[in-house]
Formats: sequence, structure tokens, C-alpha cells
Amino acid sequence: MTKRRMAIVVALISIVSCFSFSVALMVTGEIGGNPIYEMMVSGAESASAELGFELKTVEGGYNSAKWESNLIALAATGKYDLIVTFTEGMPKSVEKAADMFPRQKFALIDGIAAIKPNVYSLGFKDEEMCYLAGYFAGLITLSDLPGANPNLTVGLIGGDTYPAMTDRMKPAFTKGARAVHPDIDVLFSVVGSWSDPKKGKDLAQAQYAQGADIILTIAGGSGVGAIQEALRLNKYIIGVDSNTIPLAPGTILACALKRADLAMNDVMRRAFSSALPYGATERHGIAEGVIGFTFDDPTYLETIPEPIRKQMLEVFDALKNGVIDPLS
Amino acid sequence: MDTFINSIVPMMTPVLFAALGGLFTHLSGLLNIGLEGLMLLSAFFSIYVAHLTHNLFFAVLAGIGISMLLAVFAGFLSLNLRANIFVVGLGVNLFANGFTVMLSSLLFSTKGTVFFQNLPKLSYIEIPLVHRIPYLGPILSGYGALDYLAIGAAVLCAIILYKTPYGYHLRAVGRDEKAAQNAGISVYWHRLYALALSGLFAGLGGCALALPLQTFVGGMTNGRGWIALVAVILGGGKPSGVFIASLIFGAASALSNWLQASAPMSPKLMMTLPFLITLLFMIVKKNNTEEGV
Repeated sequence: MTKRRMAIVVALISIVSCFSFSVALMVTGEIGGNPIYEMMVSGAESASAELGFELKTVEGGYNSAKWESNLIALAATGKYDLIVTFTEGMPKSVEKAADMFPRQKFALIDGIAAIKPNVYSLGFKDEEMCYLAGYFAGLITLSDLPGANPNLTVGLIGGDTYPAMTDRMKPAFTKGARAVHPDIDVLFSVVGSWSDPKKGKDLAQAQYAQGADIILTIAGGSGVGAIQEALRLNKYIIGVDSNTIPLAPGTILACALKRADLAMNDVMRRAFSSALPYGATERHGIAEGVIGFTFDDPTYLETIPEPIRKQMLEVFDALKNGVIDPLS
Repeated sequence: MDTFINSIVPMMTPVLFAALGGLFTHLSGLLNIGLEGLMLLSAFFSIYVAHLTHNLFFAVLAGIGISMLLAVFAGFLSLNLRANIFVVGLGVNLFANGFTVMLSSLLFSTKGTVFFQNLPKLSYIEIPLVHRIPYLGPILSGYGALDYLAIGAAVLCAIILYKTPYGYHLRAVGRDEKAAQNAGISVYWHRLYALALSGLFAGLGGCALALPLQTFVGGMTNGRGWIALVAVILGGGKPSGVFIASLIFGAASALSNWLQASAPMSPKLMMTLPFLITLLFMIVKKNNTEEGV
């Protein structure tokens, strides 16, 4: 009797283990302190909890030279049905690992790898995010808010120059601002580091002194310095990625959001139900719900005049429906 | 234009402080390359203590204290245990980098940005009368307390090095260890003092970096400790030279920041400007004064 029961249990376990799905998530850096990474991991964890598959999260650490070997080591175990990693620094490493292990499936998020039969890439439409921010900056600089001036100048501070920044983010921000008023000037500065708040503050000081009244910061920890300078001078900031308005309400007027958690959750779900199109690349934006804006934030509702909020919703819908091309 | 000129001094301050610290160790013949790490450690602790006590004086004291402690420990390793000072200095930098991130994750549960809105602010001080002088007033007045302190410290260092027996002894130790020893000057103590002073000044540099921002970010010194070392060498081992090198660096940084925003040039190219200008200026200066060190 007990023997038979044992046999049933063993059979059940083997059946379950045959079908069980396991995913490795390779974090390029460390999770803590990086809002986008925190969102990615929480998206993966919620998918794993909801669908009941195994998730192994590996932090690659700050030494970027080790990320590729981490990825290859994960693939070499052969234990995972899918290996997921993210950010723009990883396409080359994913391509290499995919060539070495043709039977291993990979998914790359927030970056686009070359087409391989065992690789799926999902990029974000950063240009939609920056067009929204640019349009908002244009509306604010023309507005009669107390910190706005009549200079028709807005600013963008980037952490570094990289292809997505120079080819998509900056042009889309400029186009968005000029869609409000064609004579708007866009100042552009680069910190050269994602963790130098002092330089971020100095650059913001230079931009505000040259007539900008609102600055979009895409500079990680360096952006905190720009927020401080905006607080000191009673000027404005637009944030990106996550909602940072509570850090400095009334100074950070709005944030263009990148819902990395939703994107990650969606990829995991599709992978679990074998619906992920390997060998293809996709780019998600507003229409897919991945790019958003702080329309519901209570401070936003309180500080931003109604006509501006209405115009932002219209632009948001126009981008969603493809009526506006954020790049020319 | 006033904003541009006014932004030079605050950009110079952290570098000048750290460079003055480096200067003492350079003159003692035991160059401390751990300035970057000492600054970072001080930046973290000054923010942490400012958060705990809401008192800027204690915050600065904590920053200086921890920085001096580590500098003296480095001195112990180097002077008592005969470890190579360059290796010790590198160790200080690596330790500070990892230690601050670890503490930040333990105390604030984030490895990234620590940002407090409610910390006491370093106020901007207008010097009475001076700030009313036309044209010059806005340039000479309206900086933070630590900015004035940095300039005062440069003068003080010049006095210590050239007008006190300690200064003569320290320079003697650096010039010729044996001769100094034969003259009855303690090489050990003078080097340890020099390292402690490097801790003091690098600590002030860290405070000047973090406290006005009310922020700590892992690795926020971003090479300023190394720039300070360059200022020590380019300054020819003199307080005046160190001050000029730091000031030129500050001015060139301000210029680069200013041009970056509007000039139709590659931002990457603009970022190299401070280093290029500082180097060119010091080469020209060196050729003019001829003697050097």
C-alpha cells in the first residue's frame, strides 16, 4: 500500500518536474536603488507568483565585464527554460550566448539584439516618453506658472551620450517642445556619470541661468543635484522612469513613466504560455501600456492647470493612436 | 554672467580642500592617493550625521573624524607595518567605495541615491559692505561657509608651511629623509601628521561636496580626489600653485558646463575641456616661472 502510494508520488513529481517552467533573470548591476531594475524584478516576481513557475534572480554586480560571463554560465547549466536580461548594454552578450547555446532561449528587455532563432527582444519606445516630456515642457514654459519665464527655453540633462539618447530621446524631446511652439530652444547637457549629483546641480545651474525654466533629467543619481538647484531657484523639473514627484512636489511637476514591471510581467506570461515569438523583436510604448505619464498623481492634479492637463491627455492619445510620429 | 562667475568657486571648493590635504602628504614624501576614498567616506558620514542630529557642525565633524581615522589607519599600515603607500591608498579608495554602498543599503535600505529634503541647509553668506561694491561685490560675496573656509584654509596652509617650524620640518622630511633624521626631526611623526591632515582636508572636501546637495550617491566624488592629486602635482607642491590649479579647474568646469548647454559642439568634447585647460595653463605657467620645484 505504502509502496504504491510512494510510486504515485514519484510519478506525480516527475510529471510536474517535466512540465515545470523555470526562468533565470540576470540583473545587469544590483537591484537596490535603481527604480527601473526594481520594477523589472517586481514584474518578474509577480508573474512567477501568479503562474507558479520557478524564478532565479542573479545580480550581476557593478563590474560590467562580468555580466557576459554570468549570462554564459547561466546558459551552460541548461537548467532554465528561459534566460532573461535587460538594458542597452546587453545585446552583444546575448547574441554571443545565443550562438554558443542554440537550444537555450533568451529574452532581452529594454534593448534590441540581432535576430536569432532563440532570442526575443523587447525595446521600449523611449521617443514617446521624451516626446511627452518635451510637449509638457513646452506647455509649462509658455504657461503663467510662477516659475515659468518668457524665454521660450527648456532643458535636457542626460547622464551620458549613448545611441538611444542622441538618436531618439533628445530629438523626440526637441520635437515635442517645438510642437507646442516652433521657436522653443532646447538646451542639452551631459553629466558623463549617472552618480555625480554635484555636476548635475552645476549643469542645471548653467541651464537655468541661460533661460531655461524646466529641465528633463535622464541622469539617475546625478539628476538629484538638478532637483536641488530647481528647488533653490523655484524652477521646474520633469522626471523619467518612475514617479519621483513625492521627492519634491511642486518642483518635479510631472514624470514620464516607463512601466518596466508591466513589460517584464507580460514577457514572462507569454513565455510561460509558449506565446513568446522567439526570433523576433518588438518595441512597446504607449499603445502597449508600457510608457505612461503621471496623470493620476494628486500633486500633478493640484499644481498643473486644467488646460495643460487636457492638452497632455490629447497628445498622449495621439501618440497612442499613432497620429503623431515622435521622431521625424 | 554673475551666475557664471559665482559658479566657479563652489566647483573649486571640494577639489581645493582635497588638494591641500594631498599637498601635506606630497611634501612629507609619502603621497596619499586615497583622497578620493576619504572624500567619499566623509560625504557619506556627514550626510548620515546631518540626518541624525540635524546639526551641520556635527555633520562636518563626523565627516572629518571618519576621514582622519581612516587616514591615520593608512599611516599605521604604511609607517608601522611598512606597507606600500600607493597600495594602501588604492585600498582606501576601494574600501570607501564598497563600505559606503554597504552602509547605505544597511542604514537607508538603498544602494543608490540617499536624498533628504529636510536637512539643515548651508546658507549663502553675503559679506557685509563687500557685496555692495559694484561689479566686484557679486564675485567676492555670496558663497557658502565651506567655500570661504576653503580659501581661508589655503592661506592658512601657506602660513603653516612657510612660517612655522612644523612647516620647515615637514618639507625637510620630504626633501631628504636621512638629513632630517640626523637633524633630530622625527620622520615618523611628521608623516603621520601629514596623513592626518590629508584626512582632515579630504574630509572637508567630502562635506563640501555632499552637504550643500543634502544628498549621498555611491561614487559621487566621481574622480575629484584624483583631480586634487593632479592639482597637487601641477601646483608644484606649493599652496599658491595648488590654489591656482584648483581655481583654473573650477573655472574651466564652469566654462564647460556653460558651453555644453548651448554650444553646437559634441558634449563629449566639452567634457574634456576642464582637464585640457588646466593642463595647458599649468604648462604655460611652469615655463614662465622657470624654477618650478
